[in-house]
Amino acid sequence: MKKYLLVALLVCMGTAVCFAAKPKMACESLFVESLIRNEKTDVSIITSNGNYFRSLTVSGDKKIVDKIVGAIEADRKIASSVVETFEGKESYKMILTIPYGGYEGISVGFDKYSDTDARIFISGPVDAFK
Amino acid sequence: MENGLDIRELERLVEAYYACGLSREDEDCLRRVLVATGLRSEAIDRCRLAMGLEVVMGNDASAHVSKKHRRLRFLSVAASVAVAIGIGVTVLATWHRSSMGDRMEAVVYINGTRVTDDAYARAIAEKERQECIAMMMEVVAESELQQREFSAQLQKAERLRKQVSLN
Repeated sequence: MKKYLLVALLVCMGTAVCFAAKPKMACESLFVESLIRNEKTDVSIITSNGNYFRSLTVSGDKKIVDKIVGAIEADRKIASSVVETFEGKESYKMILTIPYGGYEGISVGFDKYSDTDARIFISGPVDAFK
Repeated sequence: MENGLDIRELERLVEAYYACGLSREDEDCLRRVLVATGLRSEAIDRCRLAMGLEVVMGNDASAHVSKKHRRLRFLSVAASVAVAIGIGVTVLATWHRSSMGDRMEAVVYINGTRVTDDAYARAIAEKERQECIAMMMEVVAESELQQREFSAQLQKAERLRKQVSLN
């Protein structure tokens, strides 16, 4: 009986480990259907040479820009390096390097043109996002 | 050698078989007798095993053995299938990755609508990537420049401070 319980426990633990959700970068969660198919956004996704690149450009939507700012601020906390430049009152650029999915250098770039216009991109090895 | 042997006679034959005292024909006859007869003893059963007749006979003892064998065979087949699947998946994944390395896949949405022309999508996506890389380089270069300027100013201030203290 004990043996069976032990086996059952091991199976449960194995299943839990296999299906455990990997913590996601906040920026990655921006690439969802509702934002990809939004008429205020342009999205580009490239997979090539083992690299993954995706960008989201917002034109004329403050809500989406705020959402992106929220995500980038959340990811800033886990970034290993942050480089920022500011231009004027509203616009600024930010580059984050984030250790993610077992890889050191996932680059996240954010370019805020105004309150309603911005662009974010993520670039790194394909395997990091699996 | 005919069937209708008693257990002692059969055991004597079995002993002769082990002692290589039987001709080829007699061995064949013994094999046939062992298949047909219901007589059993340790020596007879062992001889059946040695002659590979257990599986053919399908009596209780052999059923026990073959059940074990069957389980073992099932396990080895299952293990082989698992290993084959594992190797297959690994090879496929590697092949997929290497084939992905050769080509570029691009998905582009403009104002929420997908660009269906692949070549056009690739061109747009590549342009976008180049712009992003340029922006990244620009930000890094700008911050490095500012850092250098700041360091230069700091050094200048340090020199001035030293001059003032000397005077």
